[in-house]
Amino acid sequence: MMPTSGFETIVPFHPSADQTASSARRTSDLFAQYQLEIHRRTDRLFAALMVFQWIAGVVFGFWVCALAWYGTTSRTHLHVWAAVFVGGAICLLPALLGTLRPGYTSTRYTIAVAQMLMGALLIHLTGGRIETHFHVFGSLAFLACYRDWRVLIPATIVVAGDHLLRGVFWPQSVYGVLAASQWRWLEHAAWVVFEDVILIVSCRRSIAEMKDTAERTAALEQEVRTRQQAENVAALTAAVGLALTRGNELQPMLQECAEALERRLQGGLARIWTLDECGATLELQASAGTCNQFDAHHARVAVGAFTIGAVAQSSEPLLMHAADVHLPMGDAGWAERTGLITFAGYPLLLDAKLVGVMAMFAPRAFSSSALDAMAAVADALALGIDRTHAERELARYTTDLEVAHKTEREHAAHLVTLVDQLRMTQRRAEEATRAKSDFLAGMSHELRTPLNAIILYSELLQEEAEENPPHSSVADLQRIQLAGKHLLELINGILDLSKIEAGKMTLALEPFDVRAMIHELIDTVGPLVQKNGNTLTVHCADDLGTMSADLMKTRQILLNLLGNAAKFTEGGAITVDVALDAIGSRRAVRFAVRDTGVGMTREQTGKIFEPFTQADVTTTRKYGGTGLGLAIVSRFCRLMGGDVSVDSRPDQGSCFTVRLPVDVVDTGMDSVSADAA
Amino acid sequence: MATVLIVEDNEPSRDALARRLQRRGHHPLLAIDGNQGLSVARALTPDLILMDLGLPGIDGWEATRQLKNDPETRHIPIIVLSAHAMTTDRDVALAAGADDFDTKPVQFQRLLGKIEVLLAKGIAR
Repeated sequence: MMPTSGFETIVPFHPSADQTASSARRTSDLFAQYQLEIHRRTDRLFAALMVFQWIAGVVFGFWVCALAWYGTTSRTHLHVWAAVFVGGAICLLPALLGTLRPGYTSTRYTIAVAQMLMGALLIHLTGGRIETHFHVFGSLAFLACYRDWRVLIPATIVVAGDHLLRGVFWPQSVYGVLAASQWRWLEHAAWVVFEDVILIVSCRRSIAEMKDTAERTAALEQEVRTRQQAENVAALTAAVGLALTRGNELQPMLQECAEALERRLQGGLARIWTLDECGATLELQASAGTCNQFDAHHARVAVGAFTIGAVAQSSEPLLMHAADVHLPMGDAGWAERTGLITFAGYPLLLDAKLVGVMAMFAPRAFSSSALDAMAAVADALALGIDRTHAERELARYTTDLEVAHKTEREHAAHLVTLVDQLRMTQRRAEEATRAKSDFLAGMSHELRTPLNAIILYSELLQEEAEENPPHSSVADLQRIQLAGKHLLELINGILDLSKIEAGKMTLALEPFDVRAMIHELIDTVGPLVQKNGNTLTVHCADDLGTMSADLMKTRQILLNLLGNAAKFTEGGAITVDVALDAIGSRRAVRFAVRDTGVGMTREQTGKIFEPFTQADVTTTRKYGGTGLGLAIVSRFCRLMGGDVSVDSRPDQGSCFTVRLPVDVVDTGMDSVSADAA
Repeated sequence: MATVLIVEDNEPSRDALARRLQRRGHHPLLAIDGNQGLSVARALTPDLILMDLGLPGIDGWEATRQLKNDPETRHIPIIVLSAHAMTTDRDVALAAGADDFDTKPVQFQRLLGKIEVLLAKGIAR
């Protein structure tokens, strides 16, 4: 809870000082009230008493000595008439005042004087009988009923004056004797003073008690009020708490709080603003109390503007006179007219972050418990506003999330469709590949059957022709046979390539001695090389040892390169260099096949590893070959993790270099069965 | 000098192969489909059979299996000749019980070598 000393401005009517002052005021009010009541009551008593004294005196006079005898004649005694008229005159005014204007000081004093004059009249009319002097004492005692010792002063003066005047000029009428003692007045005066002293003391004590009672009553009232305030504060806290926890909508929730504030703290006007999202403007959310016809003026207040904006800017509570509050509507006399005297403004802070402002006008000073309650309410409001903000934020996030989810779902659905399409495309591609494969296999089968017959027959005819001359048809038959064989090579090459492309070419890895493999190879191609008058030189490094690779494919690669070299070189030199090398970090064997043949241009070397692209269209015609050899070489090399490159110039020969890892690793595509065919 | 049964539906191939084998001193027997191949093999018990795969009726695989399951003909070596050059054909043929496999067009010298080897084995047994 925010301490009361946290206020920026400590106002003159500080709550605790104010409480003391108001308590004292209340005490004196109560005291005055009690006094007035006694005065009035006593005034009325005396009004009746005076009339009663008058009538009783007259009746008594008639009864005791109604007639005065002068010889034989008797008539009503003069004193009786004196009692009737003088007594009536004396009691008339006080009786009237006591009836008509009870409670006035003048009434009281008039009564005091009149009452003492009545005493004087009684003493006088009874001829100064000493018993009648007790009327004086009785009167003074009755006057003490006023509990106002001052009343005794004019009464005493009247008694003293009466005794003094009549004692001097008409002593019998006072003391009942013609010649009184010189000190008789002193004796009487002493008795009166004695009674006065006693009465004054008792009056003062009575007054003190009355004051005490007034004080106690005031304190009791104060306590009752405090308890009531506490109850109000409790009710306020409960109402605000309930509104803030139960409410979902900001505005009705704050309105409920504003109404609770206004009702429970008996303020004239309670308003609640919230800070907008930019943090620059306060927006009026709730207003309760007498003056909400001005709400439109306060709907939007910039931070820093007017008193409300100042509270927001300073983030400090502000307590001040209502008349000093700077209002957007610019009506300075407003507070005075409406009777609102106090203003309290509270920033609504959550962890030092401003979320709004709460303001309250009241027709009286706020008690400290009210200020404490407002501070607590301000804290609660900040929490409540923050909660609704958070909920709104959450709702927005939830919506965003839902949208995102929806989008994501749509994306996912789209993706699924795409994947399905892709799968279908892939299946179609696979089907196409399989169809292609099947077609190739079928075509291969269909081509092989007639080829089988062609080759067998041509060979048969050759054999027969050689045995039975003339041999004129042998050359033609040889051509048929060659064509058949070429066709077979083509078919085999196409089949190999298609297998590689389809990823169906598998490796049959086995360790073999490189030098032995090379020498075996040379034996095979020896006749072919020598056919064109070429020489063949082989250099094998000493440290070759064994390598692990697909022996058949390695042989096929080298056979192809050597075949090419022999084919495109005439009367030249063919050399084979075999040495250890490396592909990246892997150990490798390098086979270099060099010739001194026709060579190729740079343009030609660029495409010789593609299928059906011999260096020149005329090449096929001149040198034969399928145009698939180097394409297969290149793919076999890659299949085994190696490579092939060429360096060649026209008319200066070519050098093909193949590098194969010493330890070929099967990248394992479709290694279902070893291809040992 | 051996009796070699050629089971082959393609007439030119059958004829050319028969004549070439004859020239090398073998005695060829001919069958044009699986059924005929089976009956000839059972009736005449040749020394060796050259079996085509793609045959009408009972195909080469089935004929090979039946011959190899029959105690009477089980000992006769069979070389499967196929225009199918795929490796799977070879595996299937060997699984059916064939003793060797070669592709068409026939490389006659190689085929002769395989025949010699199988006949020598048969004699040794």
